[in-house]
Amino acid sequence: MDPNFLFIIIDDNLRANRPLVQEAKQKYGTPNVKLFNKKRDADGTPKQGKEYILTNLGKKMVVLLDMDLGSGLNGFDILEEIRRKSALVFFIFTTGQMEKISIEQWTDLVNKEAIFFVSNTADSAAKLNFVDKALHQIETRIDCVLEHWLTELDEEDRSKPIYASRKGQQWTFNDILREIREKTDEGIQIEKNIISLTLDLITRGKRTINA
Amino acid sequence: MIVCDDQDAILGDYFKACKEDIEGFFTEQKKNGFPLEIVEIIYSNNCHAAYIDQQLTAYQNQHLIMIAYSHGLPHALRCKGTNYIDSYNIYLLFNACFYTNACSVGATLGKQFEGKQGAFIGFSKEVVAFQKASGMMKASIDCDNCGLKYIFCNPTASIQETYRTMKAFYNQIIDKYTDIYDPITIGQLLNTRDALKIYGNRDFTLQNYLSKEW
Repeated sequence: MDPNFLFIIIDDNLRANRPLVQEAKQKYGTPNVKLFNKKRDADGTPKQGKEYILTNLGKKMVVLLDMDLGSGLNGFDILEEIRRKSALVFFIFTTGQMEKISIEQWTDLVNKEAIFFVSNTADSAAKLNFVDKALHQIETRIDCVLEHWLTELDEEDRSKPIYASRKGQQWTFNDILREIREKTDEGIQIEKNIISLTLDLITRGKRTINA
Repeated sequence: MIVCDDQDAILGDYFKACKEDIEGFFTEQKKNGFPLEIVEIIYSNNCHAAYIDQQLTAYQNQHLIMIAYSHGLPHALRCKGTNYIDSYNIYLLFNACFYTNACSVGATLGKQFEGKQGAFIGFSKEVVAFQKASGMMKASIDCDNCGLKYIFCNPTASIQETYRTMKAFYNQIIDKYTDIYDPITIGQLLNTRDALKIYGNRDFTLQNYLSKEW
């Protein structure tokens, strides 16, 4: 398993000895699976889980997030805070009370790109199937691939000015990383450029696709 | 006539390097007997509409190639936060060849050359200039000036032919550096290639232009 991959579970009542956690560790490797709950058998509390995500944005992350975390913190708040920093963390939402989610909350979840929803009562295989699907997207989506490449660069290289728009704005790779994570117009344009470049090189016969 | 926004805080050095590159080329051309004179280089200090109007008016009945290295917006060429060429004075260039590496000017202002005797070569959207740390600055300048050099080396070539040659030159640079530099950098170069536009008289050739009497 890619050492840069993290599967993070934030669920206040899920214990470390439950099948989902054990099977995930077996499948993705123990160091790649982090559990945040309110018990003492985890890597921290749900709040610490949110901080952990924010400090590891350079890694490929899939987060299984319980909507109802109790004690004033909920999945919506965590999603909102992460989305302000990155569009590239993949969220799988889980709840035991789907029927209690309002239309406004559903709208918000879709708009903030929470990609999968799964009932609390689904078995661990079904939940891990969603993690695999999310992981596949991380490995094939151009924004995720770019983010990973940029975070692998040395900080010194990332902070040098690379180019400037002739409208007067200067860019470093750190700036580009932020644009891609926040899905700004500039970030989207960079993704389009790379897709265009790929198609251009193929159609002009300069590159071929390896089967 | 060359406009060079050499004092721009971010791209002043780049614009200056573009100007020096073409100046060096023109010096060589003159040595080879080409009837070429740089009548004026307008730097940032004088780069404002009043001065530009005065100079362009003075050269109205002469053969003029106008080159502008500066920032741009769809409707104007810009220096120090103000327009120096826009819809109010662009008509002074309608009989000339106007070549610029500025952003976006082709989107609106350049289109005003349609149906005119002169020709416009420039970019229709936001494009970037590579800075020293990218390792691509020289290639970026070569791309910016390749059309101008082609026009002067091939006086019978039309602007349409120059445009095709410029695109081919960008492709050469893209192919040369694709394996060396990252896809973000090369993707920007491709975006610049695709932003290149010509407007006005597609059959404009330097030879015909120089034989024209006023």
